[in-house]
Amino acid sequence: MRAVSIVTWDELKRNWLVFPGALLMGVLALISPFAPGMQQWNPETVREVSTLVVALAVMAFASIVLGSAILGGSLSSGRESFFLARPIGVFQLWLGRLIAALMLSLGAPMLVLIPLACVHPAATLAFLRRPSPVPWLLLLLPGVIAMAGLVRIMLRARSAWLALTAGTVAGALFIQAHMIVMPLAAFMLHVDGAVRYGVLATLPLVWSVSFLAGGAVAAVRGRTEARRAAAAGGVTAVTALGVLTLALCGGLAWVDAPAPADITQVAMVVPAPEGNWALVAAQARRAGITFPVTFLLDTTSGAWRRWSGTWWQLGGEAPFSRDGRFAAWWEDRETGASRLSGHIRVVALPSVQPRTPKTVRVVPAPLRPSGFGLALSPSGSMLAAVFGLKVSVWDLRSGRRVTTRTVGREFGGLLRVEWLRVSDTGDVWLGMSSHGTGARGRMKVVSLHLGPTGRHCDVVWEESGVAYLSRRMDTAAGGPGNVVALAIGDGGKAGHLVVRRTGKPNVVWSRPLEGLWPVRQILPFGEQVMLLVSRSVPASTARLGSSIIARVEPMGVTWVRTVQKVSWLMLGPGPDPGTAVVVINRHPGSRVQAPSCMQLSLQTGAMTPVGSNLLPAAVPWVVSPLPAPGSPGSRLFIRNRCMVLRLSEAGRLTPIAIQ
Amino acid sequence: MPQPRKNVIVVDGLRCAFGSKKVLEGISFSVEEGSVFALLGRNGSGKTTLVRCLLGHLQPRAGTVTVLGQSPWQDRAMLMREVGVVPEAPDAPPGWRVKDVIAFCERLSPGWDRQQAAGRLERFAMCGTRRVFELSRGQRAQLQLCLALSARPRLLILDDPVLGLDAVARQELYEELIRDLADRGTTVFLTSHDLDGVERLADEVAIVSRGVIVAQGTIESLKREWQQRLGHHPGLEEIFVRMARNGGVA
Repeated sequence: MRAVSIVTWDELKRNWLVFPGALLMGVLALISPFAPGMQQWNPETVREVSTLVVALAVMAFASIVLGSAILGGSLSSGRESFFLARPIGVFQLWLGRLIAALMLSLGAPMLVLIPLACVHPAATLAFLRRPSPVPWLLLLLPGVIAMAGLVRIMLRARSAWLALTAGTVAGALFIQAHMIVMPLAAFMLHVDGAVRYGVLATLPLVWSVSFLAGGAVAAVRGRTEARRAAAAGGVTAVTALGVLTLALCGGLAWVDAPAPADITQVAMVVPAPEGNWALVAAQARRAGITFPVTFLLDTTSGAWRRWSGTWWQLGGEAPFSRDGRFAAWWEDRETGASRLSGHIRVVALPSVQPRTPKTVRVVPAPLRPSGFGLALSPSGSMLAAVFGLKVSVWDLRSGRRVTTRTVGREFGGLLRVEWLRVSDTGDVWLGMSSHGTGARGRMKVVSLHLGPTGRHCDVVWEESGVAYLSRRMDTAAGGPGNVVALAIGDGGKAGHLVVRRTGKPNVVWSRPLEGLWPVRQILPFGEQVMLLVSRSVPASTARLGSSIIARVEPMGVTWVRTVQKVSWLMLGPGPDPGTAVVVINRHPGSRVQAPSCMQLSLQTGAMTPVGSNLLPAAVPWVVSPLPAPGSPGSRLFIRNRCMVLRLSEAGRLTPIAIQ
Repeated sequence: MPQPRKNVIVVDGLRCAFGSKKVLEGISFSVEEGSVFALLGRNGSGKTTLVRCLLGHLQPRAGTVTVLGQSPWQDRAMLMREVGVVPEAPDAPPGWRVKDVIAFCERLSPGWDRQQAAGRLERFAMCGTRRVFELSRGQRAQLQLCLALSARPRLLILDDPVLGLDAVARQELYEELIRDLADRGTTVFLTSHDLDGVERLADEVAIVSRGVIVAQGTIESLKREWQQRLGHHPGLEEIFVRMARNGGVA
């Protein structure tokens, strides 16, 4: 170690001019606002930007120039023999020079910052505290220094390894960009980029390790012979870079293929309306990287399949058919980085062994469907998706696209799909609203009836000033009198229940909601619709007053019970027929701390506790139709946000087994 | 009965090549402790390559090289504690001051004799503040010898140290070398084109031609051998010229 420090100190002494040079550059950056043409900009901004640019340039320049001298300098001038005639190891010699080059390359940009720090200490501190790629650069710096040394030897030796190394570098760059950086850029807006973001930090390590190994081997094996050094260093760097890049990609693929056993935190469980399948959205952790993940899970057998979307897309894509036998989602993973190359995958969810979900249809869909704009028909035979202003319907039995229609042109392209339903006959119901400046608060319910005589787009209901539109309605169950939508309009003072009767939807119920504002939840399940409201309170008050659960039936509202004063309340279908599950939190300001989970009889209003720290899985988070009370899906609960449990008929909560 | 002296350098079947070009082919010799061994050869005959193998700068293709009982390629750093080197071309960094060069070597060499180093610089009339590139060719060679001897080595390897030196500088260098030999009995491995100098210093010589040793022995034994062949008493230069010109064929 002493020999290394001697070499390092000697190198620092010989290159000391780098430091005053960097300081001078910092002063020049400081006076850059006075340069011609710079007066039009904010002087402080110019100083900051100039200092940053100069610091980075000094770092790059110092690392390349000093790095190239680590080996190449003495070898080129034939003076390496002077050092090798001393009792010091070749590796120690190389390491000492590398450390000196690192210190100079890191110290110089720091000195560039000093003039700015003297003038604007607070601004410099804030500047340094800002999130930046500096740690990433610091990891990369040793690699740049070592690479510069290796390249100079190769140039000196006119070695063919230079071409091979350049080819490998280009190949590694391509692979890393293709598999990590470009997908990351594409996925950045979606949570599924988190895995790649975690892996991204290892990229500079791969480069640094490869070229440090190459540099060290070149020094040790080559000694005074440039050609031999170039060959040995080239072989090592190329091999290390290739192997590490492949290992990184392999590691990424492994990290990106989690199993339910890797779940650390459950965010959401969406049970299918019928059957035992559920969609589990969670946080998984692999190789120290935490990222969101979603699984289709058979809650009885533990069979599972990764759902390619991210959990927040659950709000936009109804994954299950009403009978719980099919699920659909949009994905683009198989085609890599481009988000214009996706498809909708439809899988069958078997109810018998083997319970492995099988893909039954892949529907080309280059664009992601609009939020809430993907739906399966009750039996899973039809698929509807909204892309911008167009709604498309596919017959999944034949794979044929039945129709594509343009809707909502009058919204000027600023519409939002509130919900989408498709029947087994291809009848589409679409709720849209707009929050654009030109059509503020408009809402529209469209029936895209596909009769034997042709297709037409039928606007059935439209109103300005819509405050709330229920997304929870299950419209495609068939039969007259099904609820299509419950809309709270007129500034929240009136409610409208839209019901489909004889093939043509109309407003069948409309009444003022005196004393029922604001509406907290509208919840249809089974044959009932539940309306959760609270007494009128000033909008600025976060805490609710006494909450009321009301049962809304197609032609009226029935009060069930007045609940005691709570700060937060959640409602879902109960584990037994004729019951609802209610989660109450009495602690103001904390939504999930020690919630009380109770079963509520819709007939008598009696409440019985289910368990502590439990949240029901079947709650109206998503568009997907909720399971009926007493169904398997209504018996799923989440405990402490980390465990999925099933409530047996005997009232026992048991964790679900995962294969 | 006097005890046989140990071999400081043992080279056996040494082969060395640069790519497809063979430079040394089956070189074998040994150097006894306390002796002065001179390797003679024409330019490009492989002398410097052999020296680089002895110093661990080059890895032999085949054969073994043992210096002070160690492999120069594997144990170079340890070996250099006991080996002083004067290269063919003075290789001290030209931008360094003389005192910096001395200080650098002093810090790395455990057996460094500061007084000796200072004394030598004084004898060579060399100013410590001068930079290496400001020194004359002879002064640079003197500096190299000073560096090599001040570490008090057991073995001194000199690769044509008087190359390009004028007669005075050559004389000063030899005097310094002879003084050290007299003081400490250092083993010397020397390559040189200065046959007069070699004749003054060396106990044993080897002549290398085209990568092969074509003659080896004490100077006296070589002269006796060639006296019989030629019919007159030859000088070392005549022997060398005949051997080197004819590739070892008398």
